[in-house]
Amino acid sequence: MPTFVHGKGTEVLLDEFDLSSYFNSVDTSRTTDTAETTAFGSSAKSYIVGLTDGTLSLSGMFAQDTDGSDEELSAILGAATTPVVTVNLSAGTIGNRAVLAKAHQTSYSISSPVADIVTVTADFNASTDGTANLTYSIQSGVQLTTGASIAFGSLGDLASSDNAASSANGGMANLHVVANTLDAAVTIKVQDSADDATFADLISFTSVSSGTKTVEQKAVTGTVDRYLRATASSAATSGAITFHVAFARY
Amino acid sequence: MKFRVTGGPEGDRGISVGTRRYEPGDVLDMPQQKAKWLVDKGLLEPNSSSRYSPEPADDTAEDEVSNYENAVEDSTAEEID
Repeated sequence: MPTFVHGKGTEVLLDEFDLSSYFNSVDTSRTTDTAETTAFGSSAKSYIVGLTDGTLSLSGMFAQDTDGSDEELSAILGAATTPVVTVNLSAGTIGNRAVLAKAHQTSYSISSPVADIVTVTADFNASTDGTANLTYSIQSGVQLTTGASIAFGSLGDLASSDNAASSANGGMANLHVVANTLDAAVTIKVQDSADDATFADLISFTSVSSGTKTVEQKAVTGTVDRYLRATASSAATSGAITFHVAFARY
Repeated sequence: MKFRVTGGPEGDRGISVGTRRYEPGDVLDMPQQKAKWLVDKGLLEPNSSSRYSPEPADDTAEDEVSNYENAVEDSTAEEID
């Protein structure tokens, strides 16, 4: 019996904001161009694969809250910094799937019908932007955090996600720090392991300052070992942090 | 056997073994077979005073000799916490 996933558990992270409570539908699409190589004498058409591409579309409710859907979707339209988006499916369990993207917002629409709630729709086009080691700008990956708030004394190594095998072509990680009241900086890393016992740093995100919300996407090349986990450390003596990390192998 | 954490290509990658943390430049003691994948990735290298063979010998007698040699080396090697 397949394990189906309900859409109600979807989580939408846009930069340093968890906008899940504003949206009710997410569509992601990854495509690959093909170039025809059919020659005389062929009985069927043939193609070779070319460039990959991807789009992402969010739709949901308009809200004029601080850090709400209208404020954030308006702010990123045409912004110089390309937004980082993570869509967690059946969010809250380490190892569950996620879609990671770095994508320009290409449209933002507000619909205000006379007999219904005001809604918003935003479309995105994935783009590598020439980022170091970022082979693909939208990719399917896994969640490495639960998204739960972690108190200063409970930071450390989170549970690992088992890919059953290593991969050879690097990958990318998204970090969204959506709430942070820690009174000291926190260092968040992605580590990999061949044996689930000894872990090596794979990606070290920029140190997150005290009380700061942030977003960062980093990519690596080369071998990514079988097990992945997120780890966080801080000298904080009070506060808590809510952060999300996802990793996609190439 | 003792290994030194190299830090990898960028020189900033550390190692976590259980609750212990080793930063680039630190030396740690680890069985050769457990360290192999880290050596292959370039994150560990044999400490200069240790002997490392890329393919661990299966022969028990040789292992015992190696263990004895490591024990002798361990007794003189510097420990880093």
